Amino acid sequence: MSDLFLLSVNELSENISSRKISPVDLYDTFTQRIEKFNSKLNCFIEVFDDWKTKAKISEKEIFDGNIRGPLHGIPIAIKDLIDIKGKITTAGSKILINNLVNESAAIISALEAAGAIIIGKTSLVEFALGPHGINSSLPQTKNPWDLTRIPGGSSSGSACAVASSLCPIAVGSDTGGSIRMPASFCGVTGFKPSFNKLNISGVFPVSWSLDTIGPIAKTAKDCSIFVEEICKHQIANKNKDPFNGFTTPMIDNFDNLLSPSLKIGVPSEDFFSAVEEEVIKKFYNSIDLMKSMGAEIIEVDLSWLLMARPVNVVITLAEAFSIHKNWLKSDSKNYTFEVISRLVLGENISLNDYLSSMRVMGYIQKRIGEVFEKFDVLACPTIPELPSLISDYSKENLLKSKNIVGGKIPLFTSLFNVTRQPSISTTAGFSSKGLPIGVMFTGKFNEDYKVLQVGNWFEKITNIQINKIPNI
Amino acid sequence: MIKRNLNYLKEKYDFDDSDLKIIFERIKELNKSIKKVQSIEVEESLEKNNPFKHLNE
Repeated sequence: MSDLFLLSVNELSENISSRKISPVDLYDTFTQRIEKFNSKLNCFIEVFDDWKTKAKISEKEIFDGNIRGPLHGIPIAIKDLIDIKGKITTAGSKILINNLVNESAAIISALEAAGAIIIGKTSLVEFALGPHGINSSLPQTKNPWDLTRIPGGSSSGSACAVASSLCPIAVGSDTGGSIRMPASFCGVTGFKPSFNKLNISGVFPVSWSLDTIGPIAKTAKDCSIFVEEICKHQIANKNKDPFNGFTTPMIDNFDNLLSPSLKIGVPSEDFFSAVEEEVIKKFYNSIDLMKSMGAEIIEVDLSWLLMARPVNVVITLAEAFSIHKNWLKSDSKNYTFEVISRLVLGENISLNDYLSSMRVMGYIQKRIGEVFEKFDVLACPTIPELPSLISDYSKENLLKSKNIVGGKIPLFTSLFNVTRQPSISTTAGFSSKGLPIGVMFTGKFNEDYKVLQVGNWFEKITNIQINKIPNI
Repeated sequence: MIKRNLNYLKEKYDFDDSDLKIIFERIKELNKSIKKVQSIEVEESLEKNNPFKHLNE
């Protein structure tokens, strides 16, 4: 079978179950692609030597009829802030260059129990602190659609690897949009589950009040498979019925979604004042398409929700500073400038400012719950702008540019870390320069399945993502 | 206030002048965020949220 690398996890899994392909075929396919393209893209920090051995063990189990589930034999890449027993977790920093860990994160144990093959570690922004995907301590990860542009971050390597078909699925983490932003810039699907749905023990923290982990894949259906399998197998937070009665095979049945009608909330225009013209045009095209396919569009005044952005900033910086304060004393020279220049801002946040932010976060969560009674999911662009040039982020250029304060990349994604709702980014289309433009759907807290199903439905009616891959 | 903070950061972390220019802009932006948070009045019932309520019952 040719072009195996183009298939989704769901398609690969079907072919494995019917024994048309084996995990060893996937090893051959993806290692060839990694060897060919990783030096151009810099998405993998490390590819593990034991991949082939594990693929052979999986192959035997499957051929013996012991199929564990849809992730059995599927290669999966891991953002390098997640602990894997016997491997080094660097969190993208020189400070942790020798950090050999002796216990796997909960999500790794769950993936292994589900039969997935952990193939390597992907690049990230140092300590996952930044939305652009810049890390000057590592070979710079590129945007596969234009190698001169940023991939988005902080799960830059995970998104780039999936977009370039160097692996079919990868794990990322999301504190202000770090799964959804690189997924949007790289033209793949990224899903941030409801807060605390997936266990984050063994994941290097950015902000314990906001951190989540989740998948980056080619489709929403693949993200659904991932969440369902992890929930079945994770030890703590075990939940064998993560979607309250739904299961991934039901995700293609749109009857329950569209009848009587799917209600999609769309923020009124003032919410979008910071959005670039090409992005907003593509977004409204998507809304028109969904309306023509039977969705009911409900305009909502959500300008007040933008207050969640400063709340996210204050909580993230205060908690990140608390996590790093000892290393900032003892090891400050080993941080990159782009990260230490953010971390030290935590010194400026008083206890009162932090507690006020926590209090406002609770208020926002209560108010957003009332707003979401009027519709099923909220739609908005994932990122207000297109990816800028990597060279814009050199220190000299930073001094001259708008990017000095971090820009507006996380403006929308970060809101839904504060509200703790499930949120997915998928591709709405491409710009005139061929760069992906993402659309984000957010649902009620703990209605992860609804968000995944809307993402799946949108991907089916647009049919963009599957048919277009970057020419690297 | 910001200048005092910058001098403190310069000494503590050995930043140069171009570093401080960037950090200065970022502190200004953070202060805007803090002001926005402080400007939000949260309406909530003290009675309802009082963690020691049960002691009075």
